[in-house]
Amino acid sequence: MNGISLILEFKEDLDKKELVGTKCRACSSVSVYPNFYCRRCGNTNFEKVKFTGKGTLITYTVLHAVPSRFKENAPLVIGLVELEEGGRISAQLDASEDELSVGKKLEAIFQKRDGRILLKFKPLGGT
Amino acid sequence: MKGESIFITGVGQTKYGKLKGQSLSSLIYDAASMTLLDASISRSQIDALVISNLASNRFNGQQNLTALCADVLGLSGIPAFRSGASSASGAAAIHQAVMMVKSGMFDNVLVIGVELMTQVSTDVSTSILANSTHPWEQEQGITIPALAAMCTRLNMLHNGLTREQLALVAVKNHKNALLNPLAHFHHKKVTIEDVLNSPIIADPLRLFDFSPRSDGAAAVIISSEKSIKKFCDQPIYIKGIGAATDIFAYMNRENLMSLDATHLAADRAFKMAEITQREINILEVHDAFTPLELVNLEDMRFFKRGSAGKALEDGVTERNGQLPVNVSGGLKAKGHPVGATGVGQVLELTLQLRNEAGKRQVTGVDTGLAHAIGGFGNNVFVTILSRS
Repeated sequence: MNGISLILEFKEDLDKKELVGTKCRACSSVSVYPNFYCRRCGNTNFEKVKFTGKGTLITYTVLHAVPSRFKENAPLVIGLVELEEGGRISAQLDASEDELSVGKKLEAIFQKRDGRILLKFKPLGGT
Repeated sequence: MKGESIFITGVGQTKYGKLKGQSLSSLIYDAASMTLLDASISRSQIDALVISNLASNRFNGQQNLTALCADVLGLSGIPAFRSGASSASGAAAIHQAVMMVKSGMFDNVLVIGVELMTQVSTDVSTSILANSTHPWEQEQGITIPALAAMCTRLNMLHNGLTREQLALVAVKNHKNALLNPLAHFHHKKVTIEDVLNSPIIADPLRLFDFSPRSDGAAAVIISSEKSIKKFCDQPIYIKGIGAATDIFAYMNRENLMSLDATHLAADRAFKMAEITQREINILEVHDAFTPLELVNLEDMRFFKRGSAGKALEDGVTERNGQLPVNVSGGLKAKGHPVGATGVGQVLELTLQLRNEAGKRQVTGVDTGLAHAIGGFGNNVFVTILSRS
């Protein structure tokens, strides 16, 4: 598994509406976005982990000053999510401010944007 | 530091602000010529340049600042290097110059930090500044302010940080800038109400929690022990430097509430300087956002976790307190012309240590610490200066 293919595969899986991360074969540490060296033990040998997409909201913000290409979507609701299998990912949230609180249960959704898939999270069981 | 000492022998800066009619060249010339005058050194004694700048490529269409700088200063022929540590580039450039002089290969290195960034729109500026984040973060539209806001929320939840304490940081730094004629907001007084009523940028952070976009340039001359004997009346010692990176993306860090790189960089600087926090009497801390001033004071172990806010409330970090922080006005009120910022912090400490800080002079200071952050805490530089 070389560097280029790790990231490419992660993105190709996303485009297929799948969230697939890596698990270190040496120490079992789970990562969502792939690294080349395990952050815990430095090993470079990983196996794939397919996530259910369920997780918990660790922290969040409502961002009003957004980069140019997201201008029409402002404000962006952004959060850091810890997935139930381990590993964390930051992403836009499909939720209003009143629905959010630290510790809220979320699930991943895959939204079409500009011909790619944008990973987002919404409250678990919500519409 | 062990072995030969390294000195700051000259400082100079332009005003920080929305500077009309300036170019990169004019800003570089102004800051550098003031610095040479301050050092009483002639241009011919400068044997290398280190330039600091964040994004002249995107802000100004200029990607060859090293050669431009040498040319503007009539120094074509000498070596010129550029540092690149995002918003900590100024500090990184100073560290590079220190290492160049310490190596014995150079005697007088001129460090120039410059940024001309207010000529583009806020949207474009936001996008350019977001280039300091991880590729994944960039793709999601997650900016450094968003990361700072998420980190702030956790500090409010777990460490007792309050919305009012953040506002006080802005109030203090603006009050300090009223005494700094070169500050971006030299004439702007800010109250707690002003901060709390300002528009939300990234909840819970508001407009007045953020440093401005500023233009400006600052320069310092780093010199060898051999060199100062020839010209400098009041050299200031660089006692220690320390730098550290952190995991690039916020989401991948163990510590989501403070900056490990700040702790590591500070420890390294204290070790080289052979001193502890107790010996520091004045600080310039990277307050690009108000929470950073408080959290990083704790990361550098000046205060226990969750206590920097109370220390501010008690007046400890005010200009006339026991441990003044950001007497210059900080990034918040002195301004943040990104490439110049880290150089400007060291300039402020140098003036304070020389007793040349005018109306904002703090009495009895002999050792200062400057702290600069690149990205959202993924490249941090700490510089310790003293009178002896």
